[in-house]
Amino acid sequence: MIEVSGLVKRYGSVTAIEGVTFSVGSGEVFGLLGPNGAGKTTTMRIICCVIPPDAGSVVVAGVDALRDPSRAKQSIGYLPEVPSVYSRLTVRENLEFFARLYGVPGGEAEPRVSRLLRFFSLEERADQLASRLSKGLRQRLAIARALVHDPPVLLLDEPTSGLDPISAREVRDLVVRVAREEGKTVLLSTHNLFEAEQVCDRVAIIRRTILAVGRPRELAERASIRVPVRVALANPSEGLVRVALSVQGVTSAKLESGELVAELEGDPDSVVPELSAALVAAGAKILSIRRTSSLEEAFISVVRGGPRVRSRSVGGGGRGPDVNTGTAEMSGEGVVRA
Amino acid sequence: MRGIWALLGEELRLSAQRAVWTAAALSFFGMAGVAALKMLPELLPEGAVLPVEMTASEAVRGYVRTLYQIGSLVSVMLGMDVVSGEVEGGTLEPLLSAPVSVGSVFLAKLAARLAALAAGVAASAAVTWCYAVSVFGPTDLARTLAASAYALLPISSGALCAAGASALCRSQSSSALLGAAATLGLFAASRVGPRWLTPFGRAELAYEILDGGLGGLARPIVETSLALLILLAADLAALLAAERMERWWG
Repeated sequence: MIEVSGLVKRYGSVTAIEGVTFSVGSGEVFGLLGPNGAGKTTTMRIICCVIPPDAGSVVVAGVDALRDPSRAKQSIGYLPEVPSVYSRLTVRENLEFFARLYGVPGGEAEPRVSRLLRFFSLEERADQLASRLSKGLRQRLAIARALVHDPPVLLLDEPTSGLDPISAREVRDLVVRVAREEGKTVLLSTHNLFEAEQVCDRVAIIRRTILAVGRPRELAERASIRVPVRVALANPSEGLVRVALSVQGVTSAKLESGELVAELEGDPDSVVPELSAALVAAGAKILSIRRTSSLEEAFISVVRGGPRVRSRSVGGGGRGPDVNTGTAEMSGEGVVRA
Repeated sequence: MRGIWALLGEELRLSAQRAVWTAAALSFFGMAGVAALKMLPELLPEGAVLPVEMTASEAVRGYVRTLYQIGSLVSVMLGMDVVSGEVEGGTLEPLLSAPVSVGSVFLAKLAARLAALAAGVAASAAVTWCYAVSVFGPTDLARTLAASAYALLPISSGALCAAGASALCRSQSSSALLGAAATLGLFAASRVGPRWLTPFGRAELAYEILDGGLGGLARPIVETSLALLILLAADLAALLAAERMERWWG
C-alpha cells in the first residue's frame, strides 16, 4: 500500500533523511520509531506530499505521489504532529470543511461526518467550537478529519505526543480500531516504544536512515538483547540466585538491595514465567517482577549501534531470509539497513 | 479546482464578520471626521477664517482622506494572516495534505479578505454619507460611493502587501509589520517616483470624482489596477519562493 524507496531530504548542509526505504502492506499498522530529529516527520511530510524529497520515490495505493500528488493525496489521511484544527469552526464544521476540500459529494459527506462523530464519540460536542475541546478531544477530531474522505492510508505523526496517559490510551485504542474495523493501512511515527509495541504490526527504527525493520518482538530477538528483570523478594538469598541461574534463558543473576536482578536472553515472555515458577518452587516469596520493554532495549541497541543484530540478509546474502518484507539487510556495523 | 471553491466558500462565510468589523472601524473614523468638522468653528478663536467649507461634500472629502489612512491600515490587518495565520495555527500542514495547492489557499483567502474590505468600505461610505447629510445638508451619494470605490483600489495594496509578507513570515505580527512597511513604502514611492509605479500614484482621483470630474477616468483606473496586478504577481513570487525554501515548516 505504501512503497518508499531511497528517500533523501537535505536542508542546506544538514541531511534530514538519507536512503529511507520501507514498504507497508495493506491493512498493516506500521510504526516509524526514532529519537527526536531522526527524520520521522520529514518522512511523513514527504509521503503526504507536503514537502518534496531531494531524491527517491513514494508510491501510495499504486499512485506515484511525486508525479501525481493530487491523486495520491486522495488516498491519504494525514494527522500532523500538532493536532491543529480550526478553532473558529465547530467540530462538525471542521469535518464538513475538509470533506468539501477533498471533494466528497454533498450527499455522502453528511452521513460520513455523522458516522465519524459517532465512531470517535464526538457526537455530543458536534456543535461546540473546536477551541473549547481538550487536547485529547482535539486529537480525536484531527484523526476523524484525516478519515473524512475515507482514505485507505492513514499517516499519524506522533498521535499521542503531549497527551495525558488516559487520552493517549484512548487514541491508541482508536488507532487499533481504525485499522481493524475500517481496514485502513496505518503508518504512525512515534518515539514511544510502549506505543509501538502495543499498536504496531511492524516497526522500522529510523535515524536519518532505516536501521532495522521487523515485528517488535523479532527486533528484540535479532538484537541479541539481554533484558534486565528485577524480582523483588520478601526472602532474598544466594540460593535463589543459583535457582535463577539454572533457568534456561537467564544469563546472569545477582542480588541488589533485596532484589534479584536477572538478565534474560531470548523471548522474555517465555523466560519470565519459567523464572518465577522456579523461584516459587524454591520457596521464594515474590513481591513484584519488573522488566523493561524488550523493544526499548532493541531500540537503544540499534540506535546506538550496540550489540550485533542477528539479521538475515536478503536473497543470496548467505544468512537466510529476512523476517521483514525483504527490504533490510545486515550492515557491517551490526545494524540492519534498508 | 474544487478545493479552491471550498476554500473560497469557507473564507467568504468567515469574512462576513471581518466585513462588519471593517465597516464599524471605518464608519467610526468617518463619522468622527464629520463630527470634528461640525465642531471646528467652536474650536477656532473668534473671528478666525475657517480653513475648509462647512459642507457635506467637504465632510465626505474628509472621509475619503480617512479611507486612505485608516483604510490602508485596516487592509494590512486583513491581509496579515493569509498564510502566517495558518502557519501559526498549525493548520497549513493538514490543509496542504489535502488536494489543494498553496497558491489556491492564498488566492481564496486573499479574495475573501478583499471582498470583506470592499463590503466594509461600501457600508462605511453609506453610513458616513448619511451622517454628513444629516449634519450639513445634501450631497451626492453616487459620487461618494464612486470615490470610495476608487479609493478601494489603492487601499487594497495594504492587504496585498501584508498577504505577501505573510507568506514570508511565520507570525502574523511580523507579517503586519512588514506589510505596513511595504504599504508605507508604496505610498512614499507615489510621491517621488512615476505615478503609475504604485497603486497610490493616482490617489487624488477619488477627490476629482467627488468634485464631479468624471471624464478621463479610464486610464488612471487601468494604471492603478495594473499596479495592483504587479503587486499580486510579486505576492505569488514570494509565495513560491517561501514554498521552495520550505519556510513554513519547523
